[in-house]
Amino acid sequence: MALDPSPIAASMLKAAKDSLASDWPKARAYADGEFKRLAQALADIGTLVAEGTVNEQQARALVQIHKNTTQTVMLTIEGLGIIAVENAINAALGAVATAVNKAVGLTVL
Amino acid sequence: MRGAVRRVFDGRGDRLVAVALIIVMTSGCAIRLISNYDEQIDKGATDLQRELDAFLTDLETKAGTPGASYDMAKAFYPRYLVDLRALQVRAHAQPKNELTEKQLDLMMDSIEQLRRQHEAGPLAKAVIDVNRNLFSQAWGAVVKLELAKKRGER
Repeated sequence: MALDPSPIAASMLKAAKDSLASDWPKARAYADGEFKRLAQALADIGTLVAEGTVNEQQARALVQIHKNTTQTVMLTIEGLGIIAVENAINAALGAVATAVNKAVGLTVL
Repeated sequence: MRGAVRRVFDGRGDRLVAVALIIVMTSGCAIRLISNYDEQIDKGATDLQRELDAFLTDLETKAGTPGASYDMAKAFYPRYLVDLRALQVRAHAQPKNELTEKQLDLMMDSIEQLRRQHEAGPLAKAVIDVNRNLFSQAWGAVVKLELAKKRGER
C-alpha cells in the first residue's frame, strides 16, 4: 500500500496542536503572574522616588534592576515558547512514525 | 518484508523521495531547540538567590546603623560576583543555552546596580524590600527556565 500524505499531515497537525494546547496555558499563567509582580515593583519604585526615600543615583540603579528583571522574565517566557515548539515538532514527528508504520504494516520507524 | 517494502515504493519517484526523507527525519533522536536541564545551574541559581536574600535581610535588620553601611558590607559584592561568574561558565559550556547565559549577564549587571545603590547612601528598609523582590523574581525566572528544560517531566 502506497503512503497517503493526507492522513499523515492530519496526524501531525493534531499532535502538534494537542501539544501546544497543553504547553501554552502554562506559559501564559506564568507570564500573567510575573507581569503583575513587575507592575507592582515599578509602582513601589515610583513611591520611593516620590517620597524621597532614594536619591537620584539610587533611583536610576533601581530602575535598571527593574529593567534587567523584566528582560530576565521575558527570556524565560521566550524559553517556554521554544520548548513548546520543540514539543510540538517532536509530537508531530512521532505521529509521522506511527502513521508510516501503520501504512506499511510493520515497524519501519 | 520485501513485498511490503515494494508496495511502499509503488508510485512516482517523488513519493519515494518523500518516504526516504521522512525516514531520515524521524529516525534517531528527537529534535532539541534548547539546551538540556542542568542540575548545577538549577542548584547554583537557587543557592545564589538564597545568599543574596540573606545579605539583604542582614542589611535590613541593621538598617540605620553603621553595620549597614557600604564600607562594612562591600566585601559581599566581589565574592558574590565570583560565584555568579562560575555559574556563567557552566551555562556557557552547554550548547543552545543562550537564553540562560543572557539571564546571568543581566544578573551580573543587577548586582552592580545594587552595589551602586549601596555606595550612593544608606539603604532604607523599603528600598531593600523592593530590591529583594526584584532579585527573587529574577532568580525565580532563571530557575523556572532551567526546570522547564527537563524533558518528559514538565
